[in-house]
Amino acid sequence: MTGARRLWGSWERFWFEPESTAPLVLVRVAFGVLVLAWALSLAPDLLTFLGPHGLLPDAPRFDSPGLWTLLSPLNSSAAVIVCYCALIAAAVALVVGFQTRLAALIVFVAYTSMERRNFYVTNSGDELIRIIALILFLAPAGAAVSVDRWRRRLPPWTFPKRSPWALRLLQVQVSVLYLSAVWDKVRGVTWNNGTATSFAMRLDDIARFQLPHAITQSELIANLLTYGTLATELSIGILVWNRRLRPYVLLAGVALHLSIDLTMRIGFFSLGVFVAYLAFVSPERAEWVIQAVRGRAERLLSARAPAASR
Amino acid sequence: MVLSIFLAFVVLGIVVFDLPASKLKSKVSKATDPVVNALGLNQNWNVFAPDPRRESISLEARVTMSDGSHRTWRPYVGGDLIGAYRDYRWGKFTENVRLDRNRKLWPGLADWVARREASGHLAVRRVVLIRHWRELRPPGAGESEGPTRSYAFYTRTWR
Repeated sequence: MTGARRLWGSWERFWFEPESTAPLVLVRVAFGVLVLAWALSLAPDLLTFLGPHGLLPDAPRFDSPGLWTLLSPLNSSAAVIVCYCALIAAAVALVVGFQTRLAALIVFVAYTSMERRNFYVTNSGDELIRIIALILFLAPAGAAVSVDRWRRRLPPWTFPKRSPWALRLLQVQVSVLYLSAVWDKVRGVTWNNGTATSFAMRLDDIARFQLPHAITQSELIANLLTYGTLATELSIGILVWNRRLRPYVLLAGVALHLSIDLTMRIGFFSLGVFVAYLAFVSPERAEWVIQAVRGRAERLLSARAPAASR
Repeated sequence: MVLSIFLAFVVLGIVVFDLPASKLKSKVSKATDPVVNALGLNQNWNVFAPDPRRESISLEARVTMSDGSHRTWRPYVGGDLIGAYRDYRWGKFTENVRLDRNRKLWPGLADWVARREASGHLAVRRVVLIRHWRELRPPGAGESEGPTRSYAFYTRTWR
């Protein structure tokens, strides 16, 4: 009985013990900027990918229960454009924290509708953005450093404590992402014989800044990179829950994703992962970062003000 | 308590969604998948798994115009710095459209290419979709890649 009670207490503390909303501010602002970049990169191909006169004239028919997109019943160019404009406006609102809950809901619905309208042009990074959108909608993302707080005449640069369950959900998602990735990889042949990264790095069609032939063709380097990738992913999935080791495994993750992003055309995958990593920034560190940015901005503004008045 | 049940269900749903196919997964996912899908939490993290592709691929459409001239369309490829954040979608489309199991995409692509290439008095008479691929040899082998192979996988004609 005591064991069960202790377990329940740990569960309650993990999900619900109130803590500073500063990390949520970092996630919200970074995510809003990421969604804006995602939307801007889609602009030239918007109707080609999502419109009824594009590559996929018919809206998708899903064979899995529960999947939805507004652009299935509303399969028109006008609906795509409305959805797109709503996404942009809501992403801007999310960055500044204006009507934050509503903005997050609009981002989630518009983004999910667009992403599922043509899943033949999306990758795992696009899926991660959809998941973060839902989690931000569930979180008290406008509780600090937001227009919402300023409009309620509360000091915007303070960080009220709230139950962090939505942020925890994002943390769990990061851990599951890596464990699942390792599980999927170890069932393959090339991840076991240590040559997988050599093949991945030589795919011309997704190459970005190409590495020298001597690196991509070396069996030894391929072994090191392949097993290094598995070790990094496995350690993030497990050791990210250890407070002391967390910064190191996340730093290794940043290095891994930066190297993938620089060498391959994988869209917003690495950037999405970096936004998700912000959920692991400690409240103290997040508050320090936000106050440092604020101080810098205020110094910049006060330096310009006298110059303008002269 | 309600929130705890919701969280436990969502975490279970995510974990089950990511499990490889099994009896357990098929049993539990019947209950969890509709909720996971409706919440937008469906996910797939098998990037380069279980194995990376072993061939470089490309796609082109050869277009025959009403005056007998020919044009070639290829998916957009952007610059390495900024363009890569746009053209990855074309890369994914190429990866998917070349597969026989996605043959339902072929007419839509051919029609779109025809509309794009038609200009003024010149109509499009024929679009041929061609996939190219080059096999990658294992690292350490003398030759890094095999020869480029091509296959015309879909033709659409207009009178």
